[in-house]
Amino acid sequence: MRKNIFILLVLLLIIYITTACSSEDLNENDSVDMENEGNEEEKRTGNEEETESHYPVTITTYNRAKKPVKITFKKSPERVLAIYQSSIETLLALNQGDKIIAAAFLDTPVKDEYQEDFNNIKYYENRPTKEEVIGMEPDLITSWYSLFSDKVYGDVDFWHERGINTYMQQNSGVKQPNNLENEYEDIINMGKIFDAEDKALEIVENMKKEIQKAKEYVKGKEKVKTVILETGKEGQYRIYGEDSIGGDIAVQVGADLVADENATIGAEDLVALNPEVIFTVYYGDSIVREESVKNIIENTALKSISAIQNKRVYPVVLSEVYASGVRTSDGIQTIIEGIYPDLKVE
Amino acid sequence: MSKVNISNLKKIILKEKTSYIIFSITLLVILVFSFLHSITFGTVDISVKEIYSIIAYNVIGIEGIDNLSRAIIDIVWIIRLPRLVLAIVVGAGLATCGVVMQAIVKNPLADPYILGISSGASLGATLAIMLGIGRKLGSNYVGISAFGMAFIVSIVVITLANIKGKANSTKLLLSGMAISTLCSSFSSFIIYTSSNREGMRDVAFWLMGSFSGAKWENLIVVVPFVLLATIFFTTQHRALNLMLLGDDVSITLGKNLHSYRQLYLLITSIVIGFLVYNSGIIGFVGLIIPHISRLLFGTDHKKIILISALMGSILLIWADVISRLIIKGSEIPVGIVIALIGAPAFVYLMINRNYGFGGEK
Amino acid sequence: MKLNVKKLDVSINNNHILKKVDIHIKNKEFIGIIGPNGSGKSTFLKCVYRVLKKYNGDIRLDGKDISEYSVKKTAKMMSVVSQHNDSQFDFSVLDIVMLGRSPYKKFLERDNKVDYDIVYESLEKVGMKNFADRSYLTLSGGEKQRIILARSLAQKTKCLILDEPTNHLDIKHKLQIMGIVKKLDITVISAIHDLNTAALYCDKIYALKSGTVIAYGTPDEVLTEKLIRDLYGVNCKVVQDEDLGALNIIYKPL
Repeated sequence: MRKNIFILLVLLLIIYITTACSSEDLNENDSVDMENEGNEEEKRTGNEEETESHYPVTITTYNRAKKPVKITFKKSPERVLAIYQSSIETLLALNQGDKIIAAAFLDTPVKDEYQEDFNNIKYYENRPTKEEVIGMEPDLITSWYSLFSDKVYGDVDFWHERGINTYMQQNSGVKQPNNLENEYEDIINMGKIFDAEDKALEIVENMKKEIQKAKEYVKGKEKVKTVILETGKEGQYRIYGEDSIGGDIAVQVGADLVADENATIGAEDLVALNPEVIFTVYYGDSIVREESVKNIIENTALKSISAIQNKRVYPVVLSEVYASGVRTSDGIQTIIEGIYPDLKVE
Repeated sequence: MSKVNISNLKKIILKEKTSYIIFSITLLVILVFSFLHSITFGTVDISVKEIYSIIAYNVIGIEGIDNLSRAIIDIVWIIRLPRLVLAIVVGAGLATCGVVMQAIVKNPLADPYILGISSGASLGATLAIMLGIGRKLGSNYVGISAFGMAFIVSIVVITLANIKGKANSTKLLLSGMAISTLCSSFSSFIIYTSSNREGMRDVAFWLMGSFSGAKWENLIVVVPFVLLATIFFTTQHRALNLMLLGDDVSITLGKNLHSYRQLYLLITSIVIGFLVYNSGIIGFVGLIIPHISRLLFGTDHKKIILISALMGSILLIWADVISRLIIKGSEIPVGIVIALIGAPAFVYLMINRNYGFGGEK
Repeated sequence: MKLNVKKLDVSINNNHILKKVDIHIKNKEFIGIIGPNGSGKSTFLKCVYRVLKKYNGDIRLDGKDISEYSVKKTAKMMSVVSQHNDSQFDFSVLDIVMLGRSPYKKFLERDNKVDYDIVYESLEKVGMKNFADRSYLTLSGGEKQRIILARSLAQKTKCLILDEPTNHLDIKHKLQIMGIVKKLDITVISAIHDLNTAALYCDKIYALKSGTVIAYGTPDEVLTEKLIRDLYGVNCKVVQDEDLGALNIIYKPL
C-alpha cells in the first residue's frame, strides 16, 4: 500500500512540474498589461469645455448593507469595469464605450446599435478574479449588488479606499420594491458621472413618454388583466408582481396586474386568475424563447385561460424586466405591444 | 532467549518510528515549499523578488517597495497571502476535525460536517442572506449568522443525543442526521417561498467552498484557534484511541469518555464554524485525509493527527492554486476542485479494502 | 483486592435480572461464577467493573464503596477481559496492549521504557510476542482473546475479571490462558460456562440461577449432580479422579 502511495506522489510531482512550467507560459502571454490600457482618449461628448464646471460630481451609491454611500468624481472615469447586461449597455447607450476597459456577464448579445463599440472591449467569458481586477487598475466598477459580496469582490469600501469608485444598480438587490424610478435614477446617475447628462435625460424622457401614451390610450377603457411570469419547474410559475420592474411597467401603463405579488403560484392559481394576457420571461437564445411560450400554450391544465385561448402569450427577455437599465425602453415596448396591440409604438 | 526476541521487537518499533518521523518532516518541508511557491501563482505577473519584498515589508518592516504600484502590493498582501494562509488553516482544521469526528462516532465514513454543522451553517447563511436576519451585526453578519447557527445546531444535537441516557456514537449520529434534515428543510422552505432572486444566488455562492473571501482581520482570529485546537487534539491521542474501542472498554481502561466526547464536539464545532464562516463548505478533505493517514501509519492517533493536518494543508494550498489557474483570469470554487479530486480518490479507497475498513478477512 | 457485594438488585427494561445478590470475594481468591444463559452473570460483572451504573445495593472494593473511586483508580485495581471487542478500526497488536497502560498515564505523559517492557512481557506471557506488529483485525478469534488478555495483564491490576473469555479458544489455549491467570496471584473473578474448567481452577464457585445465588462453596461442594440438574436442566455424573485429584463432569445426552 505504501508503495502505491509513493508512486502516486511521484506522479503528482510530475504533474505539478508540468503545470508549473506551463502556467509560467500562461502568465507571460496573458499577463494583464497594467501600463497602457486606457490610451483611447478619442470621443468625448461636446461638453468638454464645460468640464470644469461639471465636476466634481457627487453621486449616491450603496454598499452591501444597502446603506447609501456618497462617492465623488473629480473627472469622468476612463477605466471602467462593467459587469452584467444593464451595467454594460447603459454605458454603451451613453456613448461611453471607449471608457470601458473590461466587461463580463452578458445575458444576451448587446443590441445591434452598440455592437461596433462593444467589439473594442475586452470581454471575459467568466468573471475576472479580484486579483485580475486590481491588476487592471480601474477607476470605476459598475455592476449589480451580488458582485460586491464577501466571496466575490468584497464590499465597496475596499475599492473606495483605493480610489476606485463603484456603482450598484439599485434594482439588482439594493432596493425593494424594484421600480421604474430606480432605473431612471441609475441612468441619470451614469449620465452625471460621465458628463453625459443630456443623453441620459433623453433616454429617460423617451421611456416616460411611451408610458404616458399608453396611459392616455387606456383612459376610459377596461383594464386588461395581465400576468407576468417565469416558468420554473413544470407547473410552477414565478410571478413578477408590482414590486418588480415588469410589474411596475404593466401597472403604470394601466393594466390590471392580477398576480400582483412576487411569489410562486401553481397551475390552479393561474387558472383561477384567468388573465387576458400572459408575458412569459426567459433568458437565453431563441430556442429558450420559443419554449417559454410553448410551455404555457401546450400545457393542457391551462387551456381554459383567456390568454391562451386568444393566443395572447408573449415572451419577454429577462434583461428587459429585471435590472433592465436602458432595456427598460424595450421592456416598456414589449409590454405595451402585448397589452395594447392596436396602439402603435414608436 | 526472550531477551533476544524483545530486542527484535524493539527494532521493528524503532523502524516504524523512524519512518514516521522522516515522513512528517518531509511533509513539513513540502508544506513550507508549497507555501513559498504557491504565492507566485496568479493571473497578474509579479516577480518573485517583488513578492518577497512586499512580504518582508509588511511582516518585518524592511523598506524597498516604494517603486511598486499600490495594485501589486494589494494583490500580494491582500489577495494572495491571506488566501494561502486561509487554505493552510482550513486544510489543517478540516483534516484534524475529520479524524476526531471519525473517532467520536466510531465510523470511518464520518466527515466533520456529519453532526449537522454544515446544515446549520447553511441555514444560518440562508437566514442572513434571504431574510436579512442579523443585519445589525455589521458587515460580517452572514458569517456570524452561519457560525452562530452551526454552533447552536451542535449544541442541539448533543443535547438531543443525551436525552434518555448518555450520548453514545450511535445516538449522536442519529441525532445529527435528524437535525441536519430539519435544517435543510427550513433552508429549502425559505429559499422556495422567497422572491429574492439575488439572495438565492448569493446563498449558493456563499456556501460553495472558496478562499476568495480571505481577510486578515478574520484570519487573526481563526489561525490561532485552529492551531491551538490541532495541537490540543494531538495531545488527546489516548482518549481518541479509546473512543474507537468503545465506552465499555474505555471505562475498564480508566476513562469515562462521555465528558471527553462533549468537549471534543464543542471544540470541533467552533473550529468548523470558523472555517465555514471564512471559506464556505469544502467536502472530502475531512473524509479522505484521515483515511490516507491511516493507510500509511495505522489508527494510532498519536501519529495520524499531525500528518493529517499537514496533508490537509498541502492539499488545499494546491487545490487553491488549481482553482485559480484552470480558467485564465477567472477561478473555480475550490470546493469543486476538491470534489473532482476527492471523489475518484474516495472510490479508489473503497475498492482497496486492505486496511480494515470494515473488518475481518 | 477484596470485593463485597450486598443486596445487589438490577432491573433492565422491566426484567428483574439480579435479585438482591450477595457475593463476597477475598483477596487473591479465584472465584468462578456459573449459571445458565440469562442468569445474571454478565450483569453482575458489569456492575462490578462499572459499565452498569444503575443498580440498587452495595458494591465495595477493599472496603470502600465503588462510587467513591474515580474510574481511573478502579482501572488500576481491576482489569477486564470480555467477549465483545469489535471495532471497524484497525490497531496494531502493540497499540492494543499498550492501551492497557493508559490508566497510569497522566496528561501529556508519553509511553516510556517501563511501559514497553511491561507490554512485551505481557505479550510473552500469552505466547504472542511475535505478533506485535500484526494488525489486530487480521487475528483469529482465539488470538484476539489472548491479546485482550495481554492488555489486561499490562494493566498490572490486583484483580482480573473474565467475562466468559475462553469461549473461542481451543483446548490448548484454553488451558494455557487459565494457567497464566491462575499463576498471577491476584484476585480473579471469572464467569465460566465450562464446568470442568471451573472445577480445575476455581477456589470457590458461586452458582447463579435467575438472578439469585443458589449455591456457594468449593468446586467439590457446589458441583454436584443435583445442583447441575437444578441449574442447567441436564443430567450428569460427577467423578473424582484419584490420580489428578480433579473433578470431572460427564454429561449424559438429553
